[in-house]
Amino acid sequence: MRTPLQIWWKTVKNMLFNSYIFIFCFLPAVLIGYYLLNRFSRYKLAQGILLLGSLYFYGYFNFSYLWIIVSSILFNFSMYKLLSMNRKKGAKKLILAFALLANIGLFVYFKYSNFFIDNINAVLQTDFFIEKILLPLGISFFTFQQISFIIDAYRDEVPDYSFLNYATFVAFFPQLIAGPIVLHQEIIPQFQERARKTFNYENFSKGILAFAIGLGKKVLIADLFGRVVTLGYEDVGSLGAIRAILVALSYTIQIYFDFSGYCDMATGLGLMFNIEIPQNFNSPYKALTIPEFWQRWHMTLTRFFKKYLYFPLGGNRKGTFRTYVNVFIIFIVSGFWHGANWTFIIWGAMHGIANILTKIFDKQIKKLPRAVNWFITFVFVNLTWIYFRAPSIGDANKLIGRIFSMEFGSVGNAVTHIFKSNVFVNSIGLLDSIPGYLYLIGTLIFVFILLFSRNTNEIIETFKPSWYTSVFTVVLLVVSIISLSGVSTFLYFNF
Amino acid sequence: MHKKWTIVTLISTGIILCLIAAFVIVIDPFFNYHTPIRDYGYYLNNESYQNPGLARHFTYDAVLVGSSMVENFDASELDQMFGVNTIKLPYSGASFYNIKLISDIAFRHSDVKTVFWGVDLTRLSSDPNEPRYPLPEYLYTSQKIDDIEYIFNQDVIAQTVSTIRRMHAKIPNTPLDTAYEWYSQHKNDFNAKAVAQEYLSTRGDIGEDEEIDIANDEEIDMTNVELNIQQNILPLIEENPDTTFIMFFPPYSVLYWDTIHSQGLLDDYMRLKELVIEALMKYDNVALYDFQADASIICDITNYKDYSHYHPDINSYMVTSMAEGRYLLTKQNYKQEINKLHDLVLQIDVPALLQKYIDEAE
Repeated sequence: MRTPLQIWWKTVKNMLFNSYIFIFCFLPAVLIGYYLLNRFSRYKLAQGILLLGSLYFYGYFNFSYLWIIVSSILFNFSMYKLLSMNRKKGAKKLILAFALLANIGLFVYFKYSNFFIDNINAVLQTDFFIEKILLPLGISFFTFQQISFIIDAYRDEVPDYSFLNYATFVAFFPQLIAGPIVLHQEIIPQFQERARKTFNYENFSKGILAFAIGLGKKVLIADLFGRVVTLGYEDVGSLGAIRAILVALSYTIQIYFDFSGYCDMATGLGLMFNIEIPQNFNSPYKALTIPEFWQRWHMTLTRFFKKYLYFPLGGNRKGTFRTYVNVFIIFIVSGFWHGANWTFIIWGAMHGIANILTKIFDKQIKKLPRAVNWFITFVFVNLTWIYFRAPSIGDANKLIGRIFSMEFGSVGNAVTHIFKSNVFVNSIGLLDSIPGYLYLIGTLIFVFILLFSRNTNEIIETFKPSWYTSVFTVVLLVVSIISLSGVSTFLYFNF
Repeated sequence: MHKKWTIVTLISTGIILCLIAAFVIVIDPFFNYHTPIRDYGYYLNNESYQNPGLARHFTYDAVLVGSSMVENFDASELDQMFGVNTIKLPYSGASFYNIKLISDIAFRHSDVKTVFWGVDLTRLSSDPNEPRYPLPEYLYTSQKIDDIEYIFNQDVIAQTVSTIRRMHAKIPNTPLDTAYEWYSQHKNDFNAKAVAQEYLSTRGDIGEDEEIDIANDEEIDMTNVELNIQQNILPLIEENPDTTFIMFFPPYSVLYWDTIHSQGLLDDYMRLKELVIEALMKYDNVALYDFQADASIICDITNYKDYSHYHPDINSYMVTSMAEGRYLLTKQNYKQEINKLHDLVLQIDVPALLQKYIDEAE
């Protein structure tokens, strides 16, 4: 009989940043190991701890993933060495092609095999079957990271790095699972800097603050709105216009706070090790146009596509029409990269078209009031996120249909309950008398204030230690940590 | 300055977390570490979370297990009629895994002399390795390390605070004897006319003579049945030969059986029942009772709030009956009892029966 311990152990089998085991066990252990070894000038050993810790972190999710990332690192490092040993252009081209094919091939195999088979079956009316292939965590990120490295190596833009440095650059746990997509020149030199190996309170304090903010964003805001989204997608057809808009808005909020929260935690963790990780979000919902949105959202991905796809395709130097084609290609690839579903491709295509249209109507757009531009952009982003989130194009279309239907409906108790149930309301009954929808409105207003305040990178840039920031950080950490667990009440009536 | 900030922030966070932990451990609303520290404040509101604590720390020599079929028992009645000290450990919708799990904990921590067990045949085909609904496993293990999910848990903290507030208001602890009862919240659902109307509307126009479409029926998963019996039921009985197992088949209404019959599974369930009875009868420490074929109970729709959930008076009746040795199954009579139920279901005119309740009310 399966024991409860066996069952519990399985649920704990993930070491996301927002978990007890990461915060209380893994992180302190790696920090102590790293700085202690550095203190005794065992620099290589310290870096080794970082690398091994990162691999342990990755393998913790699923031990069989480990061989994939290890082989990938070994393979790409060998390709890099091969490239640096060869002077001839022809040989280098061959090596590059081989390396790219291998990386992309691995990535495509794991991420898209099921998608391809399903589509072939649908089109050709066949019945091919393959087992559901489990997607190794972070493969989208470490694949792109290494592709950028190999291309740079081909272009002779990569100095002589040791294997230890290269491996740590790829596997560095703060950015391994969910980015940012870092470039070698912004990380590896930092690993080599002796000054960065001494514990630094300024960086560490900024790290704690960034981590706390990221944790709060993920656990307190993203997960909260995520529940509204999950509820909504359970039965899209039954949503009134108000609920439908709320579901769409909630996802817009969820995805930003989730992804940027995770990146904030990555930034914070990096700083705890004196490593500066590139910014990935710059208040994207402040954007006035779609191109600007992509300058602010998942910045390292935009950078990657620009450098390694857009410019090689010719960028904007091959005429207007070709520019539009290039832009469109980028966004189709981007859509595809995000997920193995037609919904992502549609999402990418829509953003591609919006980019092109913005270029075409550039003059007119500049004449419009900022508020109007902001509104159009924000609405567009909301509507396209629906395709990103919906399980199918049909569901996405349905939700949009519900938004524009004239049946308004109400918010509903199930939704307001999500906003009302928190530790403060549940324990201090007197807040119970405040109607649920006020909690909802209050939370939305609060979130919008956050969206228009300074973002985390801006905050830590100008960070000055003070009682205020200390209290803020303590409260954020404590409330987030106790929110990692809850009690599910099953209101089922069944025997 | 940054040094001071870092140290102050981290230490403060640590201190507050320790205080929260102490707070939760001292009050312990889910009895993970100890029994209530006061006679006021505690409330039993969550079986999945509180049963393991009850089993571990409270004093008893008898346990009551089963599903919502047993939640309305008054343990003091069992205590009185059987001379025991019973603790209720039911799980709404309990699978046999649930029952085995909590029973194991009970046996580990107490000298359990009697087990009162409401046996639900349908649950035999459930996964023998899974609880019916997800459980907070960290409360079911003896390890301390997973308790972090209990201590730093927003809802546990909320319940800790409410417990303290109720302590101040001197609200007495939920009586254990009537813990988890659901009758008080469903009194108004005991409406025979409503139940009758609802059943008739779902049953459609299936006439008595209509052919049952066997091809459409669901199958009973016999692998699971075997595993549940071998893994979750028999070991408890075998490993505790000095414990008396008072097991009973609760009286679902005739509508419940009518539904099973319309799925073409009546014979399957009768065979299943026979299988279970024969497996259990081998043991001297098992007393098996069957209330399912008593037409005076199951055909009286006023006893029910739906097809299966009966009034607490029935629970009381079962206590007295079992204490007085009625409805006991023996090697001589069990086949006859099974047939009695089988024939009852086949012979009854359900629409006519239900129409009476609809007409009466008007």
